[in-house]
Amino acid sequence: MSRETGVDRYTLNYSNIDVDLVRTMQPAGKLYYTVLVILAAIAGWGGYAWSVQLRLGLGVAGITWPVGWGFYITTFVFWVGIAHSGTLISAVLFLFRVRWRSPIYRSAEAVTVFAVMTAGLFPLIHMGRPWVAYWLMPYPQMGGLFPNFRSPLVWDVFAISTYLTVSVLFFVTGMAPDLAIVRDRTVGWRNKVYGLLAQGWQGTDRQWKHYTAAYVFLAALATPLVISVHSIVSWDFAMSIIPGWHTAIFPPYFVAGAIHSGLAMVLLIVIPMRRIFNLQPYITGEHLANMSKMLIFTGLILGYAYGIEFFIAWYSNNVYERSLFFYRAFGDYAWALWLLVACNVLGPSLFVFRRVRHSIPAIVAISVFVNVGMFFERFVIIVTSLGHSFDPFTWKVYVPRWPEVSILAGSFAWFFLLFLIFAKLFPVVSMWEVKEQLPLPRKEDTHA
Amino acid sequence: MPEAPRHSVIGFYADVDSLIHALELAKREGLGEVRTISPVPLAEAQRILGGKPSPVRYFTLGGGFFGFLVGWALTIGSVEHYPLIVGAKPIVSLTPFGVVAYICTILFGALFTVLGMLINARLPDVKVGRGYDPRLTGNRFGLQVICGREQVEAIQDKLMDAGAEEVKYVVV
Repeated sequence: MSRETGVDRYTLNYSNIDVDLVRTMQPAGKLYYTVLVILAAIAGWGGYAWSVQLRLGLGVAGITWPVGWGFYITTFVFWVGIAHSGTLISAVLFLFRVRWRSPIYRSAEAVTVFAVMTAGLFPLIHMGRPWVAYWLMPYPQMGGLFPNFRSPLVWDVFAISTYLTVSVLFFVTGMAPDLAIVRDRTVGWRNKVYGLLAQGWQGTDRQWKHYTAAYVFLAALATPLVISVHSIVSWDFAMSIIPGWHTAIFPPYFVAGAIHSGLAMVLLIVIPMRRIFNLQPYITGEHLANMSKMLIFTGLILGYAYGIEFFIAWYSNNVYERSLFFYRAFGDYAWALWLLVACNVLGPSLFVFRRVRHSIPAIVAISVFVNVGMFFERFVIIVTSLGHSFDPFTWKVYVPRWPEVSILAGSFAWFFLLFLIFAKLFPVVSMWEVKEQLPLPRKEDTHA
Repeated sequence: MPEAPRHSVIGFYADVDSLIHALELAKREGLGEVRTISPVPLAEAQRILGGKPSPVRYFTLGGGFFGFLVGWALTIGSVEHYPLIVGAKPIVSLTPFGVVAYICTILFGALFTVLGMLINARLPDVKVGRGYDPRLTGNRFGLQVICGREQVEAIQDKLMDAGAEEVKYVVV
């Protein structure tokens, strides 16, 4: 294998790839189930908090006028952002023929799918009456009234549901050859289930021909989604006239932030996974270092965006904009602003040092910081603008209440729970693509 | 009426060079309908087998175009059906409706791509058990020659001569 991927230090071949990666799906031990139960308990607690809100109404949450969007919308934007790195790694890096993506893209895609599934819950939770969620969808009904397609909120419904659909298609399609490998190496009910999921994949030239063509086109379709989905999410804010929201910088700023947080989350998933499953020959230090380098890049974009936001507020000479940004920097939530700057810009910039990007504890710590920082970035954008808009008599400090915090914690547990289940049921590393990165077996190799 | 069984020979190869050699031989001598089975896509084998590029791209294009139309039809159709001015915007607001049309283009493009792949690759394939060998998703490369019953032995010999580790007679 080429040096670029770093896997060349290990003697990977077609046989041990199958053995190593099918082994990750063997029945789990006590630790796995202990973690599973803990996560299920936290997710269950979040579910209970939601049930309390459903019974008693949205009043149990801290969101109230003028801060109508609080933790729920913050968390929604956060999870949509987390989803982005998966598509970046699986689709964008695929189109650019970046070879080191092969061992990590399956996990990154799983992060995308589960993060969008988690994000999709939050508009429902925020609605207060999730049983009428179908009102958001365009369907012919007696009154003849369709959703308002001029609203960015309706664009968002379309964008997120399309993103989920395309991500799932890409994820499931990419897995077909691997599911066939698993089918061929299992017996009993597993053989039947994976046989069904593999859809009869055999690896014929006909199948490969159309499969690889479809894969390229799916990647090409998913790539603009990386840009457009979070641009549309940013328009939920930027299309309004609220100070701090009505700015043209939001789409690229949100997209960079999304990829930033997503990369950090993929690192947080991949690092324990490679250790637990002994996947160091597949996901090497070079892979982690490459992702760390991408975090430097996205962190710098964010640093620029943070700075330019303040510059625009000052340069506009608009009293409301200036007041809001002064409030962000020195007001009630100033701690959150400076925390996010430290976490999102200063933290990842440490990756310029080779020693830092090759240190697992440092990568984990900085990735945690980035995720904390990105959550607070969305919190600061949403809450300060609503709580400190035009009229000083309407200014208010928003404090989340226990159901909101519980549902936030539950969403993290739900996300990790889904990934944990996935990791035991499906190959976490793409077997056929890792094989494809190896040199093809040649006559001189087999006769040596 | 059930399809008549067809006879075939599969040669198993440990390396790509032998497979390609056997494939070239099979094509050159016109041994029969041939197909390769491999754990990874083989560009070299595709080149020898020839054929047109995958038509999946037409499905993608058609799906994208269909989605584009659906997006405009949905937005314009719905506001024409219930004309209500919202936010001082025109009834038919091209810019915001264009966002929905763009999203639908991607959505239907992706759905049609997968559909095109399934149709052209003939998936799902319920007949996977017939003639299929699990080694071919692992570390072996296969060349299957579909032929008449009387040719089986001759083709087995030819595939062995071309470097096969093993040959198998399979009725498909």
